[in-house]
Amino acid sequence: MKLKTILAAAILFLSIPSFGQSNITETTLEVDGLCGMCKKRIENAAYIQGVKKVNWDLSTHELAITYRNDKVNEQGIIAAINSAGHDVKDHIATDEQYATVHGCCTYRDAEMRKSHGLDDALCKPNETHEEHHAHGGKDKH
Amino acid sequence: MILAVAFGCTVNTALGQSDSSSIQLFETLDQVNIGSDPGISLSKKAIITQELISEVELRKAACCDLSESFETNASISASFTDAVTGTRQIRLLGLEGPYALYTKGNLTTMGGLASVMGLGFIPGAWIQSIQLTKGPGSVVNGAGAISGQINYELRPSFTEQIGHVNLFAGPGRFEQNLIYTWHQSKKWSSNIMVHGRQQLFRWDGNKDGYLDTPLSRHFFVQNAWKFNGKNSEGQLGIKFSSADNIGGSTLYGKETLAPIWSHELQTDRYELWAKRGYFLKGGINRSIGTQFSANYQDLDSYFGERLFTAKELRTYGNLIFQDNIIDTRRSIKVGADFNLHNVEQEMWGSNGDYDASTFGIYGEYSYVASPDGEGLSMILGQRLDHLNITDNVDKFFYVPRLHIKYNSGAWSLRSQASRSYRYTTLGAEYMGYMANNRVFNLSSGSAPAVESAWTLGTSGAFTKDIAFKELQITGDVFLTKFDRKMTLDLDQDTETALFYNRSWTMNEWEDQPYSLSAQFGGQYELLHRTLFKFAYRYQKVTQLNLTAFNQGIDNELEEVILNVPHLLYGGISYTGTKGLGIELNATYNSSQRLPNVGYDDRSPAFTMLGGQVSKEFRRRGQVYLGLQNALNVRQLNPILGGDLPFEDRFDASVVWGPIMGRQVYMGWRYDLRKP
Ligand SMILES: [Cu+2]
Repeated sequence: MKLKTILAAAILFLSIPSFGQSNITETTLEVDGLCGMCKKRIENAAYIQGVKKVNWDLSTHELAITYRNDKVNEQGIIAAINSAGHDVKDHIATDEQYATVHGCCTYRDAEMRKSHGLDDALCKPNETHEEHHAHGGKDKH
Repeated sequence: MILAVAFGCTVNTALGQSDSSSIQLFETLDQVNIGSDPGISLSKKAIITQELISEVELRKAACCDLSESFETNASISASFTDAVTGTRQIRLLGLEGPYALYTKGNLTTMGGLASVMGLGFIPGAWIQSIQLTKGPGSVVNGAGAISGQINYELRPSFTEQIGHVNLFAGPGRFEQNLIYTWHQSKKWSSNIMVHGRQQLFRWDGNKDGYLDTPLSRHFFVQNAWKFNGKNSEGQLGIKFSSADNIGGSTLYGKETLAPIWSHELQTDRYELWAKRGYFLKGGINRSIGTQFSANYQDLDSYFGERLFTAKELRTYGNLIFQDNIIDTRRSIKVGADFNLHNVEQEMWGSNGDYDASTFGIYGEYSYVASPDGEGLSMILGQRLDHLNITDNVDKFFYVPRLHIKYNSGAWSLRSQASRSYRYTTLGAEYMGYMANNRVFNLSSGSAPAVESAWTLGTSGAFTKDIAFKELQITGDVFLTKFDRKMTLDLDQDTETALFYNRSWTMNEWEDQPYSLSAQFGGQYELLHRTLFKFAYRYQKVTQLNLTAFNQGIDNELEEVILNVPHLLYGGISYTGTKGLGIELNATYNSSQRLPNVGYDDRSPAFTMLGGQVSKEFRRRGQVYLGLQNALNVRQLNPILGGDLPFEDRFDASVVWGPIMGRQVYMGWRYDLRKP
């Protein structure tokens, strides 16, 4: 049993170059957040099975992501980021999801953004709860 | 650059190190990217061979204090100094704890009386990160660090994290840590850290009538302040530590027919420190820094019929000037420091009082070809110290050190040649050897002995993304050659211990005792979210063969006792998306040499296996549950002649393995952040 797992791992390791470029996608997503704690949360959330590499840049808000497109798609990764409470451009997290981020990571809050030197949030403060979803949903088409 | 301490959650992670010193005493460390924090990381920019052990990694170790923080690290082994005091000492490059330099935020902390037991006074829950340097580091921190430097950063006060709690429970052992942080004003912040530890139950798993671990009560408290001004930074703090241990016979405090062998130790330690740094006009890196520390420790103990009492007062100061020359690729540090050290002690029935004073001046030139660390970098440091020890030493020491690094793509190669020296503090450094009835033959007197060495070291690191995940492979070789060294010998018979001091000339290079250490290791995320680590370490450590010496052969070397020649380490670490963490660690220790008389030739080889499961909740902190020594390996007779404790052959000071068997522990930690 154990041996089998190790063998499987070894095969996986050795077969890596054969992935080639074909089933690997490299892309960036714009993800909102404030600080190092957000970075940790975003990267942790996006790093689901099939994702190979994640790196969220605090200053540009860009999440560079490399994944196997035969195992996971962009929607799946976005959903995972949303469920950790972070807004992705054109895919706003629900208020329930947003409420799970820590008090010092309330990145939609205008005051907090100002103190971290950030401009407008992806989720505009004047938009209502319903609009977030309409907004998020609309862009899927 | 370091003044730009941001308020906000960031401080807790990447900028944690910026709380160290406004004058960086080390070459810039890469900031840890906690998002992909593998726990132990190598800095590509550091010119000196360094490993950074982050909080993530520290949480993987079972617990509890600095001496126990290296369970997941193959570079350092920690073992008991004896079977009664519960003191652990670390070995780095095959050399015992006192050969390393310990610094807190790059300020020298322990030495002398605290050089072994002091590690137990640094609670793991207070530590933010540890930088481990192999081999002598910067001359700015003094001429010691023969085996390397262990620099630990405590949790900073300039953080949004206002509180931290860590509660731990093991077999009969309980620990409490509380940290509270507040911002006094825009410029001043402060924190209070409290630690309590109790070993309340008498534990005798091997049924030898002696406690496997001492009954103990420890209480430490620290208050630190940090000032962040426009062009200056300052830190100051005070710490009080108190420890109370009872070891030896399980019948301590009970009525007995025959006299029992017991051990008690009480010690109080007071520490005070201040650091100040000013950025000067006229250059972006022009700055002046001062460091000051003072400590006083009072220790009372007995080991059966043997008394050991000591009082130590130590003051240290350092003034550092730093600037660029020509351009920002070249910088210099120049400065002066002093270390005044007064010890009054009674040990092995004799007086070991001494006064030691060190005054030093130093200069260090560093060159970095490119800001990203590519190409050639080097540090050339030199020191001149004057050391005076009462009635014994009055001497100048010249300490040159050269570190070179070459980075090319995935490769980093480092080399060093360094001089270092230290003086021994006879009682405290060999305290474990008081737990026996050997007659100590202080043939060289009880005054501190000077030890000096040359270290040659080279290391290579290869870091490359393979299948989009970082593969890290490292290897190093270090050779430390002593031209002055104190030798402790237990090989004569079971009744005596010999101390002998000797120096060797350059021509006797081949006869000099040495320590050779070679290590090879790697880590890779082989399965999704699962990091695999392995390491192999070889160590050969020799000393003067006193048996041969007494027969007139003055150049024979022998293997030291209790050195682990071959060590294999393997670790698996899984981090789940929902805060789940699973750790598995295994360390194989090959057989160690034991004293010639009274013991088997060599100890058995053994493997330590441990694991930990932790779960971080969104709002309720992190709980952890661990298993140590899963294979239940024990040294069953750690106390030789324990049935007749007042006979000559009684000896509790040769410990090669764990005394406690399988142990389960659990704990809870919680971070309180500003809403
Ligand atoms: Cu945040």
